[in-house]
Amino acid sequence: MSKPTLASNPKGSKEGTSSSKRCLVIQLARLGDTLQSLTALRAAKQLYPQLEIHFLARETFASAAKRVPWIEKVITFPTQDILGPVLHEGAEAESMGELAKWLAPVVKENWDFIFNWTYSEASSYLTAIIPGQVKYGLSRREDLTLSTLDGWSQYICGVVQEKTPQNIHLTDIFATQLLTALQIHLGESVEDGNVPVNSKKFFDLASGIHPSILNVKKSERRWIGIQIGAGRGEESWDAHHWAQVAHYVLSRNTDCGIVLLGDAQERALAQSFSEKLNQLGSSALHEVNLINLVGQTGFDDWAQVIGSCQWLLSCDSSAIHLASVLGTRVLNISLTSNNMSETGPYGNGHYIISGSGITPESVYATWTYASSEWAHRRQLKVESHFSQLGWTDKLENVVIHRSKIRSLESGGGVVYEILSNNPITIDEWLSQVVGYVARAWYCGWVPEIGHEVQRTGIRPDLIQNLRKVDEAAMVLTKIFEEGKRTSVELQQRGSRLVSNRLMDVHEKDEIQRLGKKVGDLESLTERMGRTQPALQPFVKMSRVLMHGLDTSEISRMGRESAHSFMQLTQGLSLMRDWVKHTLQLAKPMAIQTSAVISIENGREKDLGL
Amino acid sequence: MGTNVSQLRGEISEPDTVQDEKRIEQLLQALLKSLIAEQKTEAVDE
Repeated sequence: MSKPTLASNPKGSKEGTSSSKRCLVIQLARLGDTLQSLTALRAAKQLYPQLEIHFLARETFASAAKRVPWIEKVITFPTQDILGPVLHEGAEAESMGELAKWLAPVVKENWDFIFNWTYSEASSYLTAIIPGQVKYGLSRREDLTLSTLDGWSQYICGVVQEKTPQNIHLTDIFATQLLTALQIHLGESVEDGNVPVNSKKFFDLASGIHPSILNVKKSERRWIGIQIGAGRGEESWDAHHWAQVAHYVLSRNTDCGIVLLGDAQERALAQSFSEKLNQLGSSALHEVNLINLVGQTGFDDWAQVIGSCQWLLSCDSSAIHLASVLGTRVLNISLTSNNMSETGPYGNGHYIISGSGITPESVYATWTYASSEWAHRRQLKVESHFSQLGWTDKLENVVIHRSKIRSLESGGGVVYEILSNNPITIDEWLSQVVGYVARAWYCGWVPEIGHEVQRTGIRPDLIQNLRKVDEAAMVLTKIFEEGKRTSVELQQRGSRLVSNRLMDVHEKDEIQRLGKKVGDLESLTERMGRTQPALQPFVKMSRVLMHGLDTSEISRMGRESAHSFMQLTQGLSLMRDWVKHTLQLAKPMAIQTSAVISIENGREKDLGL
Repeated sequence: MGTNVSQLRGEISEPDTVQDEKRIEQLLQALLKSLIAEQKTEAVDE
């Protein structure tokens, strides 16, 4: 993996160079979000070396950003210092004082760009308080109402945060928003953007703190990391299941070793894992080939171990993002309904196993399939691989995905291809459509419609569903078109007014009538969303767009809402094109006569006649 | 609203962190409110 050449900006040069652009990124969420943000920022720094990035994070999750050499400064949000007075003495004024004291130097800086990637209510106030030339993300207006500052932020609020199916990864959303902003304000970038962002040298880490880490780094063994816990209890897998997987790995792959990872709170899980593993096989073998580092690693050690492993096996945890930025391949055991398209491991060749039927056998079989790609070159079907292991039944209720970075011609970004032979669900279909519509809205360019839909995955229930979706989409299109006409009329009437407050009775009645009509159309839109769930992305986006109009002036309000209705109509039109394409794809195809083999001839051949 | 990107991914914060978040939000809101009021007063004075 090639290491990108980055322009150096000596630490401590507060003013930067004359051409440098000072960019503040607000990321007050958790470590997983921080790592995804850093991936997007790395891409931007490669393309725009003049960018001087300052990263604002919560103290608890700032460790990763502090180890990134090209981040100019990490500003930590001192939650405890600020909340301390409120919590212990009820002294709100003192807390306000602490907050103001902490904010003072941040506010004084001359920020060229502020990106708020936290998307929380609290962070929106912070964005509003800190002055900046250009701001993206969530902020507040003067009347304190919430303001979404750009299209991608509207998409995050209307679609991503509403848990609507969509298939653009958060890293890609951040990166696209950032790079579009930089292109608009700084012009074309210095490179073509094809340099990989992940690298073993992503972080500048302190080395060799824990003696066991040297074993992992120097030994010839193929090390497999197992992150035993996860962000939430229900995302964690039973320690006995992990032990069974480890047993398969160690007993069937003598060149492999396992490093067990987790935080201090997961020591009991690790204990349970070890006991089960010892029950399953030779404890002597496990003693040599298993390193238990649960509760013993800080960020540096943790990153060094994961970076030295060939694979990381983990449920939905920040470890999958750490492995992704370090270029270590991931097998993600996804036990909940988390949308992997948004937050799965980022990069090429990661695997995700999901579904209600996950077992130690299906996990081990997926890993052996993935780790022997070099031999079968993915010409072998997953089903055949499971069959060879005698575990055909272990594929039931399991879906296996493989990640791939698309070429720019195919739309760019990460995509998770289904390897197992599963039918396309309406949610999967919808997630592709919504992602496609977003690209059309905010990137201005989209690949061919439906190029990732596999004909074999289209089943009768999907076809039936899509016909209903199309009928409902047609009705919603008419509602949006009426909305646009009404908004244009509102704009025209508004532009004729001398004042937004002083108008004659007739004008006032007309404007009120039009305003009521827009309100009625909004209610109809909501009702359509309840009737046909596949329309929810458009209903929710309509809510964000209409309620986020950045003006109280009638003419401008009319113009902005007309523009919003046009955007929604365009999105629905694309959705209907997708329906048409999918239904077309499902139609029986004529087979060329030359490709048809006579049954009789075939039989004769079989019989050796 | 009210959720952040972490929460979307299921990384829901512990209850005390959620409360912390709310308190921080209230403090920041109050701070912004006072800054806007200050700005308006300055504008009137000028």
